[in-house]
Amino acid sequence: MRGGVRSSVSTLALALLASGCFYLDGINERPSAEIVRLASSNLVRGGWLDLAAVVDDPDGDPVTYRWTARACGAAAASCDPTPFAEGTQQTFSLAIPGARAGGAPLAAVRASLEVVDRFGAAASPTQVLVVDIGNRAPTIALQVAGLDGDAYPAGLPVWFTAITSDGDDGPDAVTLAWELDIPREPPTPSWTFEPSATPPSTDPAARQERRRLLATTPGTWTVRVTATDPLGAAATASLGITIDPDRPPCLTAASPWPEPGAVLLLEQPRRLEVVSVDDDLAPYPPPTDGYRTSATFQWSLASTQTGGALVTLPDATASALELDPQSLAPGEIVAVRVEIDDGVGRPSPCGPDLDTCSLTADACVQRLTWHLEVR
Amino acid sequence: MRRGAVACLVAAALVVGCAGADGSIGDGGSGNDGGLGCRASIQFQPAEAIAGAGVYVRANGDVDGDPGFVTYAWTIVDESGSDLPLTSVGAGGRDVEFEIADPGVYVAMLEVNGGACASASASFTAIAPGALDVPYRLRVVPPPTSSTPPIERVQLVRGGGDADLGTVTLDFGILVDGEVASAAGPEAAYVRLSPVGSPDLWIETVTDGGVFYATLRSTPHDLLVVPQGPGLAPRRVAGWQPTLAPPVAVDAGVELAGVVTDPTGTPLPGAQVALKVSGVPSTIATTDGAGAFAVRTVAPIAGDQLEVTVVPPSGSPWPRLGASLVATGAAAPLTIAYAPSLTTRSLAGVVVEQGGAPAADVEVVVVGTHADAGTVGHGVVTASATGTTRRSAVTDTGGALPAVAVVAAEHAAVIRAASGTVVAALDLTASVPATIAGPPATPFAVRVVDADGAALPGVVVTAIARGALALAGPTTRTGVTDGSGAVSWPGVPGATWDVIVEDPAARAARRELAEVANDDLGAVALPRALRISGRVAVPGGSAVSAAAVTLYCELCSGIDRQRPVASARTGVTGAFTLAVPDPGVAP
Repeated sequence: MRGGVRSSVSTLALALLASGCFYLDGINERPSAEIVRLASSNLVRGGWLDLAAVVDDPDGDPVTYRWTARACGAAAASCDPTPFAEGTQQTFSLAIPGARAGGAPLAAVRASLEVVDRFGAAASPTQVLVVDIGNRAPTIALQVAGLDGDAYPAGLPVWFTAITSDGDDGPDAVTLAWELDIPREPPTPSWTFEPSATPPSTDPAARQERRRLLATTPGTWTVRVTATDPLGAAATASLGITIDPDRPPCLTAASPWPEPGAVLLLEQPRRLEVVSVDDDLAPYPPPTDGYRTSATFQWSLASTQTGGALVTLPDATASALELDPQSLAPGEIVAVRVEIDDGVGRPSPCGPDLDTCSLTADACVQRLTWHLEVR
Repeated sequence: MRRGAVACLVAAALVVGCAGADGSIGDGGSGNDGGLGCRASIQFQPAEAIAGAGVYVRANGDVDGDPGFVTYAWTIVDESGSDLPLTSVGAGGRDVEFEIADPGVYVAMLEVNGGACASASASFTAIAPGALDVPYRLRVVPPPTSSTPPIERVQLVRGGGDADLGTVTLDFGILVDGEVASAAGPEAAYVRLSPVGSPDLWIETVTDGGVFYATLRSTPHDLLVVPQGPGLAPRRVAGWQPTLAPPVAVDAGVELAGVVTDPTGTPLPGAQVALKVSGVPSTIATTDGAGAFAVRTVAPIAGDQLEVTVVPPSGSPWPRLGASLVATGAAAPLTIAYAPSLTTRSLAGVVVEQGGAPAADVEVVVVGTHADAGTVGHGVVTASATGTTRRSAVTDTGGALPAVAVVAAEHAAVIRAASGTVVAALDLTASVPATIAGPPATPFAVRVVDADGAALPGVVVTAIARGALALAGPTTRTGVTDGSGAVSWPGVPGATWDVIVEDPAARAARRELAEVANDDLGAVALPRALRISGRVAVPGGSAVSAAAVTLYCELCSGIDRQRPVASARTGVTGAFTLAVPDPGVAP
C-alpha cells in the first residue's frame, strides 16, 4: 500500500517536472495509535479505569481523540450498544458502572479509540482494549447475643446477627442463606429459628440480618450463613453455641423464711413475701435485660373454710400475700403455700403434703409453706 | 450516665474497702493494708455539711503503722465523676479541702506512697440546703444461708440529693438456746423475739422439747411467748437478755370469763372468744350452752387495750364481732351482747347473674361490715362492737342461692365465676332482691411513666384487694409493664385496690395508690428517686452478698408498715442501692 503511494508520487513528480512546474508539497501520512492502561486504575465495579492514547503521527500533525467505553458481559462477547462513557482527550478516565444497561452485572469494559489528524487521516485500525473487571466476594461476619457471658440456657432466645458487605455490588445485592446444625444426640431437638427484627447497620457499607433461635433442647447448635453476590462469589461464616440445660427456679429469699415445723402467729395482718427468685429464664425481681421474664407465683391456702385442704387462690398472683386474721377463725392453723414457675412447665415431683419441694433434690426449692395459728 | 460513673466509682471504692461507722452519713473509710504493715484511712471534717458555693470539707488522711516517709495522693470526685480541685492543707498533702457546691455523694480516694503502702476511699454526702427528711426503717436481712441476725434501724432520708450510707455492719450475733417452761416442765411454744427498739423486726421460732434456738444480737430483746399447752397463757417478756438467756416461765395467767348472748338476749353457745391484752393474745375459748366462756391471759392492768373477738358458730347468721376497750384493771367478767336491732334475711332463691344470664355453680361470698353490731362490757366500761359478715354459698344450676341467712344490712357479693371474679352490691337492709347482678367485666389497666412522662417498661404493678374483695379472701394480682409502659389484666369490677408500682431497675421511686377503684388507671407517674447507696458487711469488713436491704415506712401503721418502700439485694461486694422517693427541699 505504502509502495503504491510512493510510485504514484514519483509519477506525479515526473509529470510536474516535464510540465515545467518545480513546486513540491509533502504527502500527509495517517497517525498510528495505541491504548495503554494506566497504573492508577481501580478495576472494580464502582471503581475507575484510566487509559491513555499513545499516538505517533509521522507528519507531526495535531490529532483528535474519540474514546468510547461500553459495558460488557463476562465473556466480553456481548457489550452494550450504547457507550457509557466517551472522551476526547489523550487520557480517558472513566467511572466503571456497577451494572450494564439492562441491569446485569458488568464483567468487562470495551474501550475503543479513534485518532484522526488534521487532514482527516485516521489511525487504522480503531484501537480496542477489553479490560476484565474483577468481582469482589462479599464479606460476612456472624455475631451472637443472649445473656451476658457465654450462658445460653435452653428456653431463652438467642439472636444471631449476620453482617455482610460487598465492595463492588454493595450490601443490598448480597443474598444470605441461613443454615442451622442441630444437636445429633438425643433427645430429639426442639427449636424455632426464624427471622427477627434487625436494627439497621450503623455502617452504610454493611447490612445486617438477624435470626432468632429458641432452642429448648441442650446441646451444640451451629448457625451457618452464606453470603452470595450477583456474580456467584460467596463467603461463609459459622458460629456454634452450647445450649445449656435449663435450671429450675430457686426461691432464695422470703419474708419470713418458713422454718420446718414452725407454726407462726397470725394475730395481726401479716405479709408473706417472696423476696427473690434466682432463675436463668424468669427470676424475681423481674430483670430488665429484655431477654428474661418474671417468675410467676401461685398461692394456696388451707383453712377451715377450705375444709383443711390446700386450695389455689386464683386471684393471688403477686410475689406477696397479705393475710388478715379477720377473715379466719381464732385458733385455727392455716397453711399458706407459694410455688414458683419459670414458664417451662415441669411437673412437680412432690406430693401436696410436702411443705417444700425441690426439682433437683437440693437446696433449690420451688415451694415454701407457712403454717400460722390465728389468734 | 453520670450516676453510672459515680456508681462505678463508689463500687470500686467499696471494693477497696470502705469501712466507716455503722451507717452514719458522712462517715470515714479505711483501706487495705498495703502489705507493709501500714493502713490508710480517711475522715471528713465536718462529718456532715450542707452543700453550697464556698462550702468546703476537709478530708483527713491518716496512716497506721510506721511506713517511714509518706506521700499522699488524693482524688475526690463528685457525682458526675469529675475530679474536684483540691487544696492541700496538711503537712505533705496529708489533708485536703474540697468544695461541696452541690448536694450528693462525693467520693474521696487516697493513695499512700503511690499505693505501695496502702490506699483508702470514703464517701461524703453533702446535704441539700433546706432538705426535708422522712424517717424510714432500714432492715437488712442476710440470706437464709447466713447465721447472721437481721438488723433494723431508723434511717432518715434527706431530700434534694443522693446519699451514701457507708457501711452497714451486721453483727455476727450469738446462738441462743432459750428455754420455755411451766411448773410442769418444758413447754411447746411459739417465741417471737424483737430487739428492744425494733418492735417490727421479728425473729420467730418454736421450742423443741421446751428449748428454742435463735441467732440474735447480744442486745436485749422483747419476747412474745405463746405456749401451746392447754391452760397456759401467752405472755410478753421485756428486755430479755440473750447473753444470759434466762428461762421463760409460762403459767396460767389470769382467767377472764364472760357470757355471749345473741340479739334476743339468749346465750349463744359454740362461739369462739379470743382476747388480746395490749397485743398479747389470750387462749381461745368456746362458749358453752349457757353462752359462758373463760380465757387465760396476762392480767390486764388499768389502761391496757383489750381487743375482743367473737366468732359465732358455723352456720350462724350473726356476724363476727370485734371491739376494743380500755381495761380498768378490775377483775370483772366480760359481757358480750349482739345488738338487739340485728335481724336476718335469707338469700334462698336469689338468682345470681353474670353477663345478664344466671351464673350456675359459682361461689358467692357475701361480705359486709356493720357498725354497732353489739357491745362488749368489762366492769364499768362498755364499748361498741363492729360486725363483720362473711358467708359463702354456691349457686345451683339455675344460678339460685341456697338458704343462707345473713344480717339485714348492706353487703357486697363477691361472685367467683369461671369467667372471672366480680363484686356486686347487695343491700339487704329493707328487703331481699330477686337477683344479684354482677357488673360487666372490665380490664384493670395502667400505664406507667416517669416524672418526665416517658414510658417505663419492666415496672412491677401489684394490686392488693381492699374492702369487700379482701374480706372474701386474700387477693393480690401483679403484672410487668411492656415496652410502652402498659400492663393490664382481667379486672374485678366493683373492687377496690391498693396499687403498688415499683421499678426493679430503680429508674424511679415506688408509688402506692391507696384504695383505687378497679378501672383503667390511665397514666401513673412515678416520682423521681433519690439513690441511697451503701454496703453491707460483717465486722472486719467482709462483704455480705445476697442480703435483702429494705426500707419500710416508719410513720405508717398496720399492714402499711410491712410493705417495702424500696428494696434491693446486695451484690458480691455487699453494695446496694435503693431508689427512694425524694422528700424534697423546703421552698
